[in-house]
Amino acid sequence: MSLPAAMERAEREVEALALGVRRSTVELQAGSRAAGAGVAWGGDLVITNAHVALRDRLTVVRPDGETRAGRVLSRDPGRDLALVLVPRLDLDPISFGKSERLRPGMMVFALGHPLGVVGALSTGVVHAVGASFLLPAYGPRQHRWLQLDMAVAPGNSGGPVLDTGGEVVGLTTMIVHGLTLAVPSEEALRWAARRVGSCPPSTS
Amino acid sequence: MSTSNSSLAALSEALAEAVDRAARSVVAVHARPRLPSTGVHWRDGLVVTTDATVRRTDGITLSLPGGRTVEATLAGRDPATDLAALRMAPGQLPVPEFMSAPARPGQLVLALGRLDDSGPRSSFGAVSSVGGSWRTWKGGELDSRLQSDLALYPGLGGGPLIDASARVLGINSGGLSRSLTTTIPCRTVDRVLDSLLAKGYVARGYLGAALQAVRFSESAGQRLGLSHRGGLVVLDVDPDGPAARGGLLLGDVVIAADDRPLEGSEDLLRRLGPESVGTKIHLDLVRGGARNSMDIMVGERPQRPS
Repeated sequence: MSLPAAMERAEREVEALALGVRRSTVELQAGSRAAGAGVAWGGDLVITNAHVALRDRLTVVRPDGETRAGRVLSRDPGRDLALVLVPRLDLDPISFGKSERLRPGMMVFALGHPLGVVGALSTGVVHAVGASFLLPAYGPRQHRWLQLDMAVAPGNSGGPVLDTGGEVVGLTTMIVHGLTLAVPSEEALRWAARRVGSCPPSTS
Repeated sequence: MSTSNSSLAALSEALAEAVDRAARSVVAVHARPRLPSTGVHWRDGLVVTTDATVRRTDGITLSLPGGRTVEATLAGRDPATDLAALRMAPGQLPVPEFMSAPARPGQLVLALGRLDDSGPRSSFGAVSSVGGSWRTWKGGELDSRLQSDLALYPGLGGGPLIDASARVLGINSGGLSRSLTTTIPCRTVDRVLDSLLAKGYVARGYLGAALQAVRFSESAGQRLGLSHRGGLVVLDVDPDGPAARGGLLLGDVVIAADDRPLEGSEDLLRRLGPESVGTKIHLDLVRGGARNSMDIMVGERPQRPS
């Protein structure tokens, strides 16, 4: 395949990947304030960051603009994860992949609502995997993070990070020294599964 | 949904492969407090990094790919081009493949780093601008201007810029420009390295005169028959320096060097590169309202203790 043809194909693949993940990514609002993004998991559950779900009651905006009322089921400020129950959310659950397969240089994508731009796609590469003494010592250093070379902004928090196959490999969480840090998908999934006692939960 | 025959996956895999391959020659340099920097095993037993990241000359260690730590010694440094050479035991690491063709704007590139034993680090971007030789604010001459839009995260300074085929384009420096990432091209690294290995430093031409740019008035220019209005007035002369030996005096205005007009001190500095040492430079000047000229034997700039 010639390079222009390969590039064109790659572009179409990114487009398809963005369309797919947008169907399963919600916007979370605390009162009238935008708080961040979340990933639909199971029929009526959303995984997001604890710092996005600071209030117990949240407004959840579906990709089509419809809103639902959400209630925080569980919150872990240390790992910065939260699980939100959203009755009648009715979104396709997103497919989780393996962040352990990521190597530095691999392409990644993030979907979120940076600075209020709803459903925006960011592209970047894996900066590093594993521990790093660059991370603040107070808490983040105790956990494993995906360290990504990718431009994100407030509003991306809690949104999905995808690999080239369109599967979730992490949850965008914070920016340190210009690097984007994401909770690895395995940890988010394991944590959420423990909260509901099964994996994945069936729609109620 | 992960399909290995997708173009995106293939591109991603190619980038990771390039990082993996080039990273075999990339080490972490522990030569300053707290934050390490990155170095490239440029020739067997020789690691290149940026001068600004080497803060101590004793007790330097390197973290090699695979996690081993070895000792290194400073082989030489050149603050003007922001390069330092470290010596380590030979036969430990491969040397990378180098890109001989000039970089092109738009070319996809990666910056590599290594900070500890947690594996290589990378950032991705494109070459933003490519140009001819230029002088850094530190006074060193770089053979070409190579700038890219990638993010040089803490500790990535001193690491290589590579293309998608893992070929090294140069050494990334965090201290040479404010906005874009500047890369010291391979040709400059090789040139500086040769000089550092031969002498331990890079020799630069020296006149021993402090000069300040001035402009002649229109009437003075006409009276003196000047082809241009600029010049460099002599503010101070090192009494033991080449300029004093050649007869340059305080208040002289140097208007041309080897028949090239001087508008700013840059024009003269360009003439005083490493190869100028020991050559004769012909200066045209205005002294006491009259034209004059002299030859000066270019000396070698004294080494400042580092």
